[in-house]
Amino acid sequence: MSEEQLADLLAQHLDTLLEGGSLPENLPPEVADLLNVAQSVSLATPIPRPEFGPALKELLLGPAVGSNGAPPAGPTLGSPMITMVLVGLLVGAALVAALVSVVILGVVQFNPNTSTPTAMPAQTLTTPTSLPPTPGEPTETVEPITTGQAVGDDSTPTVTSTPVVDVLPVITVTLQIVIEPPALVPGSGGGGNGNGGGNGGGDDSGDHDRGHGNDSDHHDEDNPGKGGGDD
Amino acid sequence: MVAPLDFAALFDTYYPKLYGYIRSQVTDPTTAEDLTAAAFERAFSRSDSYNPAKGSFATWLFRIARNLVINHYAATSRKPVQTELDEAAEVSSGELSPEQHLLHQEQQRILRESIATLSERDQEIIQLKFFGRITNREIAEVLELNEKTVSVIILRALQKLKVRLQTQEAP
Repeated sequence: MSEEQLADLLAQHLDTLLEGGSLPENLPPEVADLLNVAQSVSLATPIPRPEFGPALKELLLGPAVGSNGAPPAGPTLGSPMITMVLVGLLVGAALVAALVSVVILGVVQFNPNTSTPTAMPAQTLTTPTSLPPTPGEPTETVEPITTGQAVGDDSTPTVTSTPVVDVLPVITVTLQIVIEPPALVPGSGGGGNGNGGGNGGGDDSGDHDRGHGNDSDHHDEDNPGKGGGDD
Repeated sequence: MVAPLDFAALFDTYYPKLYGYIRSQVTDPTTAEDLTAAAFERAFSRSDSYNPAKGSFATWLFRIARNLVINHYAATSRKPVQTELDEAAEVSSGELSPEQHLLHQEQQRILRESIATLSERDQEIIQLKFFGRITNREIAEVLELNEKTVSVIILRALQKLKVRLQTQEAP
């Protein structure tokens, strides 16, 4: 028997021996002797700790592994990536929603629809407590800060305009604007009737010159200490 | 399309074999457990890359384990002497009487010393065969050798061990 034939015969029976199977009795003596040596070598196989295998299996496959052995999660290629992508999308959507809400609230507060003092017509205001709403403004008082619209809602905000001043502490503003018709004949000069509070006197020479030292009283309202004027 | 792997069944089949092979390669059981766990974790996490047409699962798994062992020693810059490995390996002697246990230990010592006389390649083949319990064809695929070559190497190694054991046991 050649070495190769002997090796093939040995290989055929060695796997059976190592798997714990039974060997035929009519084996060549040389093969039988080598199989006895192989048996001795196999007895030197290192044995793991009894608890290591089950612990490792549970770690790898999870505590509940079906009969098919499909891992519940984890060892599947791609699932961690998909999870990360989904989490990222959710976080991004939340951030976008928050940003849009802030923008909407900011628009509502500073939107021209809300009554502002600049929208007030020029008139004498004598209300001691609060400013009257401008004509056409809704009069109902709503919560200063209301919920904004959901993201993606294209409808106009339902928060009816709330005057900004309604959310501020009550500030009494009294503004008197006295408009008097011109009483002086152009060129009459003299100490006019300027009684301060604004423009003193005026003539027909032009309102823009009043109080600048160019009018007949030569009183420069802008520079009171600058000569002129004999009030 | 590759059929999904039965991870639980594969683990049950190959866990003791893989540990036996790795334990015969390293000096301590803790390292062996770590490398065994790493090999299974890598195999299961990269199961999509396993191609049955290129070899059996055992071939793929033991190749992963072999590479882990190589990397382990590359990191430590030290490969222990074979006798040191074999002396550290736990050996199950089953239910033996004290005399049988002593005899068994003596036989194992002689066996370890005999294996140590083989070349590194032959030692690895013996460890894959008798501790890893994989076939000659799978050993050939792992070590990238011819299957006939593996069979002849095993034959010659067993012949050497037989002579050495007979010499040691002789009075």
